[in-house]
Amino acid sequence: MSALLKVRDLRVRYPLGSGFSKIAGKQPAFVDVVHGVSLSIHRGETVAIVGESGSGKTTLALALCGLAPVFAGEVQIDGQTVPQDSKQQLQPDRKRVALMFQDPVGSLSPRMTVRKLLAEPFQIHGIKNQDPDFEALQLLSLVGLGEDFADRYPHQLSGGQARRVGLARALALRPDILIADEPTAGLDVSIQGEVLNLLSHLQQEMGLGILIITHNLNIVRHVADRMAIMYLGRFVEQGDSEQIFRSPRHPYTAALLSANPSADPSAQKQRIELQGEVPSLLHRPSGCEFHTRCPRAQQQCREVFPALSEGPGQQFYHCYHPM
Amino acid sequence: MNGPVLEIPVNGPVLEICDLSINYQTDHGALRALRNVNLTVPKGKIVGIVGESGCGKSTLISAIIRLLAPNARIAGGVVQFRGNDLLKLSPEQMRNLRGDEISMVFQDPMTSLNPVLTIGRQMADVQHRSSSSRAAKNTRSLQMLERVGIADPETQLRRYPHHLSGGMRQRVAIAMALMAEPSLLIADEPTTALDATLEVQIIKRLRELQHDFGCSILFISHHLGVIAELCDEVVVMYAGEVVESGAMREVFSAPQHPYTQKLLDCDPARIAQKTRRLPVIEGNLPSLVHLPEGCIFKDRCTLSLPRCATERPRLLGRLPGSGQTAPVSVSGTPHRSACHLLEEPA
Repeated sequence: MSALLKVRDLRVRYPLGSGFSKIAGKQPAFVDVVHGVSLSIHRGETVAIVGESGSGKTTLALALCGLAPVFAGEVQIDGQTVPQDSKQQLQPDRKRVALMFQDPVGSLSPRMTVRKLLAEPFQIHGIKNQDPDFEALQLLSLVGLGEDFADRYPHQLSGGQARRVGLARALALRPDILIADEPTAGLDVSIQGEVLNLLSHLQQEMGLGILIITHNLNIVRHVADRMAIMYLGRFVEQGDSEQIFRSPRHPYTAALLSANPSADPSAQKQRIELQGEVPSLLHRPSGCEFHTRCPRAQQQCREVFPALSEGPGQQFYHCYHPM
Repeated sequence: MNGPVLEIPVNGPVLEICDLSINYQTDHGALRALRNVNLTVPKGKIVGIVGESGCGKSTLISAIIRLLAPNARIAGGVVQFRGNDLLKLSPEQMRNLRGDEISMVFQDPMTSLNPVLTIGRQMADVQHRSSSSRAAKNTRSLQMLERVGIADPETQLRRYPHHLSGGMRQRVAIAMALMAEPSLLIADEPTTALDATLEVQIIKRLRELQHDFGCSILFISHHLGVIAELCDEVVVMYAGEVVESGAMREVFSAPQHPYTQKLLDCDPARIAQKTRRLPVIEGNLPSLVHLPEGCIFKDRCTLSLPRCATERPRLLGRLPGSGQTAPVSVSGTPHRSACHLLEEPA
C-alpha cells in the first residue's frame, strides 16, 4: 500500500536577526529548525513524534499544513507532490491535511460562537452548497458534543470540550490526514483518555492517517503504530513503536524512555542520566548533534553525522554506537 | 528585618491545615471551593497534592500564602505554620514570611521570571532582606546556581531568562526560592512545562536540595508518576475535598477511595497491555455552587451505597471491610480516606 503522506528530506529554515550581528558574522544568518526529516503515514495509521521542547516537532507539523515555509525537500500526498511556490497552489491540498492546534482555547476566536467557528472552514474554502447549521450540528455530534454547545463561546468551554471543538473544526472538510499537536497537554488523566479514544474511534470510521505530536510517552505506547524521536530538528530514530519501546537503539531514545516517571512506586528504574544542556539550534554541534550529551560518544561522533542504519523489524536510527 | 518578628517554635509539623473552608462569591451564589480540608506537612518531608482541574489545589496554595482572589472568603479553619495561624497575621507579618520562611516555585518559569532583568539582578533582588554587600549577594547567587546544577554560573548571571532553556529557567526559579533557606517550599506543577528527561532532572534535584536544606516541600501536580517519584506522603483532592491521604507507597499501592482507584486506573503508564480504548472516569464534576448532599463523588462512583446519597463521609483512618480504626502504619502516617464503603463488611 502506498503512503498517504510522504515527506522526504524536509527542511524548514528561518532567517535570523538583522543588521550588525549579521554583518559582523557573529551569528549564522539562518537557523534550520527542521533539519532533513523523512516520514510516511498510511491510511488508518497513527504515527507519533516525540522529542523535547524546541526539537522542531510543532514546526514540522506547521510545515506539513503549509503554515511554515518549506526550504528544501518534498511533501507528497497520495503520490502527488505538493507545490510549495504559492498559496493559491497550496489551497486544494490544505483541505486534505488538517491540524488540531496545540492551544485549544487560544486557537478558537473568542468572539465567535461554536456554530460560527465550525462554519468557518467551509467559508474559507468557498464551499457553499451545504446547510451550514446542519453541518455544524453534525460535526458536534461527531465529536460527542450536544447541540446546546453550538451557541457557546470558547470561554464557556472546558479544556476537554475546547479540544473537541478544535477536532470538529479540523475534521470539517473531511481530511485524509489529521495532525494532532499535543492533543492531551494540560488535560487531566481521566479526560485525556476520552480525547484519545475519540481520535481512535474517528480514525476507524474515517480511515484517517493520524500524526500525533506529544512528549507524553505513556500515550505513545498505547496509541501509536509507529513513532519517530526528534532531537534538534532531526529524527534520530524511527520505527514500529512496540519495537522501539522494547529495544531502543539510539542512546537518546533509550534515555528518554528510561526517564519516563512511573506511578508505580515499586517499579525498579534503571535510569540513563543525560549530562549537560540541550544545545542551541544556533550552535548546532558538529557530527552527531547528540554527542555533547551522549554517554557513548567517540571521536567519530563529533566529526561526521552517522548515516541511517536499519535494525531488525523496520527500526531506523542514526548512530555509530547503538544500544 | 523590619516589622514585628514572629516567634517560631522548632518542633512539630511545619504546616498544619485544619478544617479549612473557602468560598468564592459569584453572581450565582457562593462557590464552595474548599470544604473542611485537613493537611499536615511534617518537618523535612515532601507532601504531594494530586487532583484534577477544579479540585481546589490552587485555592489551597493561595490560602497558605494568603494571595487569595478578592472575592474569596475564608469560611472557617486554621492554617498553622510553625505555631502561627497564617490566616490571622497582619499583611506585614505575612509579607515577612513570604520568600523567607515560605517560598514558592511556579508552574511556568518564563512568566515567573522577569524578562527584562538579568538573572543576576533578579537573584540579588530576592536577597533584599539581607544587609550584606552587593558582592556578597553576588557570591551567594553563584553558590545557589551551582547548587541547582547550572554550569558556568558566572556567565548565566549576566544572561536574560530568554537565553536559558526551559529546564535551566526552572532551576533558576528553584535557586531563587531556596535562597533564604525557607522551612516550606511550595512547588505548583513545576515540571508541567518540561519534558521527561528534564522532569526527572528537576525531581532529582529537588530531592537532593530538600535533603541538604532540610526544608519541607508541598508539591502540587496532576502527574501521578512525578508524585510517585518524589513524595513521601500524598493527599488526593476531589472537587474541593480531601478524599484520601497517607504515605505515598500505601496510597498508590492500596488506594482506598474509589476516586483514587479510578484515577490510578486511568493513568496510561500503569496499563501494561497496549490498548486503544483507554479507561475514563464517566460523568462530570459536581456543581460547587449547588453542592450535592452526601458524598461528593457519589454520582461518578460505581460502588455507591444508599447512605452515600445523604450522609457525607468523614476523612478517617479505617481498616477496609471492618470499619475499625486502623492502627498507625509502619510509616507513622495514618492512611485516611473519606468513604462509607470502608465501614461496610467486605
